Amino acid sequence: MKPHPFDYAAPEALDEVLDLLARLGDDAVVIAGGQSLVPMLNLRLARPEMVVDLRRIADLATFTITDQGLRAGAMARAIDVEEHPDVHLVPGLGDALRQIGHPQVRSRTTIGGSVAHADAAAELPALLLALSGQVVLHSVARGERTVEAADFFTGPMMTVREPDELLTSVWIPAHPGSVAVVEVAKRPGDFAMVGAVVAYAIADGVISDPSIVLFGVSGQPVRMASAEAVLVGAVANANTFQATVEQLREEFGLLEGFRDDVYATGGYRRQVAGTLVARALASMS
Amino acid sequence: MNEHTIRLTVNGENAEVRVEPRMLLSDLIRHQLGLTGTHVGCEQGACGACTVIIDGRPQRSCLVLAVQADGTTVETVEGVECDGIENAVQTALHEQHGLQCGFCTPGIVMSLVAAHRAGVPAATAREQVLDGHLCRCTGYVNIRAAVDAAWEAAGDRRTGYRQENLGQESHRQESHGQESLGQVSLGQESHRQGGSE
Ligand SMILES: Cc1cc2nc3c(=O)[nH]c(=O)nc-3n(C[C@@H](O)[C@H](O)[C@H](O)COP(=O)(O)OP(=O)(O)OC[C@H]3O[C@@H](n4cnc5c(N)ncnc54)[C@H](O)[C@@H]3O)c2cc1C
Ligand code: FES
Ligand code: FES
Repeated sequence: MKPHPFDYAAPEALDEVLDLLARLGDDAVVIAGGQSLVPMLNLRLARPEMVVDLRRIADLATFTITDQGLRAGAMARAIDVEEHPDVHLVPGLGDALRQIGHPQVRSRTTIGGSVAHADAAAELPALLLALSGQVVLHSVARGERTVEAADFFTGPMMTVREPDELLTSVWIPAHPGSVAVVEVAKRPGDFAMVGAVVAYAIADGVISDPSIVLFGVSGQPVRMASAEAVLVGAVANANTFQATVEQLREEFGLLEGFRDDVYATGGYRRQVAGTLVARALASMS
Repeated sequence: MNEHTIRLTVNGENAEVRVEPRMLLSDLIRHQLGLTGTHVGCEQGACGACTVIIDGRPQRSCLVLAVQADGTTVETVEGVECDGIENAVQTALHEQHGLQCGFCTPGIVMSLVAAHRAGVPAATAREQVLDGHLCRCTGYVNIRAAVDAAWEAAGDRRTGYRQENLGQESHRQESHGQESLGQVSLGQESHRQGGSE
């Protein structure tokens, strides 16, 4: 199928984009890398009046990586971040990016587009949540606001971003310890059926800063707080990890809206989530 | 209709065309420029048949609006030169029987040419680059053989920081560092999952 007709603008200034969004609201949609939007246009799942292209706004395409973290303009391309020589300064970042689709898709995929799109099975939103990142939004009505990752994702492809707001940048802080990003997909490059981001550091011989996020299992990436609590202050050994995974499976049963679909049953996802987290924990110690 | 005038370079020639915003780059290439070597399979980014090189990177032309390609340099399979890696890829696909119906081939050629120019080693091209292409005929074995043959014929150009990154990665995998986990188990898991169906 071909897209329904729409108008197109590619402003050179951020203010022009914000003006268009303020004026058109839901009738306008921004295009970043287009790797999710264009399939939706082709299938006519999206029928916007106007597509606003961000490609001419040079400021949005810049990013910096330091040992503090990644500050990425919304239009920074996944492949450019993935190939940056300093990408290892933010543990987990390279691994998360390399599991998004294929290189040919990542050459257009943007950091902002992936976060704004908020697919429940996407790697980057899960990493952002696991590492307690932030999202910066701009609009004419509200000016600039910074939203914590924990408050940003609200459901399948839903976030707190209002229709007139543009996501302008993303902050992913570097974790002090190790970060693993693991998933099970039908084929390499497919969206995850189940995925996990697991992070912790060791301080004075015991575990600190634990983080466990599952993705692809419910409407949005979820932090498994009671499983994390098992890790805090514990010694990193097989007993601790087993107790963590048991708690994780308990907590999984309480998740709202967990996915049970043609790709995998809820029971399968629960089983695999535990296995993935167990393997990640073991590999990091 | 609200048409836009765009200028782009296609296979070394300047083109100025008027397009509707909803026109896909793949359709511009095929229907307005008459370059039907670029094939269209799914229009969802999954099959890779429509892959062309835009500003040096392999990309899905079915997921780019033609208006977005204003000011870019596009290479299609028709523009592939007859020497160097371009020829090595095509010769290897031919000699190794890396194609049958040929529907997937132009996209694969473009991905491999771009990968080799960027200094991607043969092993990465074989795994990660080919992951982005579906072939209904060959079963991939001969395409993989063609990658090795092409890289050997044209030389494994170990250049660029992409290579440094890959070096670090393999080092990490050897040391069982956590950074390697995602990649390693991704392949294994996917394989296992596929096999159990
Ligand atoms: C074959 C294939 C496989 C894929 N596999 C994966 C995968 O495994 N994991 C994964 O995470 N993704 C995957 N993707 C999707 C990923 O590549 C998308 O690129 C990403 O989800 C969206 O980024 P984009 O820059 O392409 O955004 P677009 O497609 O341009 O936009 C997506 C949505 O976000 C909105 N948006 C974009 N930028 C902004 C902004 N700055 N402010 C406000 N709203 C904005 C758009 O309006 C649109 O609604 C895959 C895509 C394909 C085609
Ligand atoms: S037609 Fe573009 S990826 Fe299939
Ligand atoms: S040769 Fe027929 S699809 Fe690949």
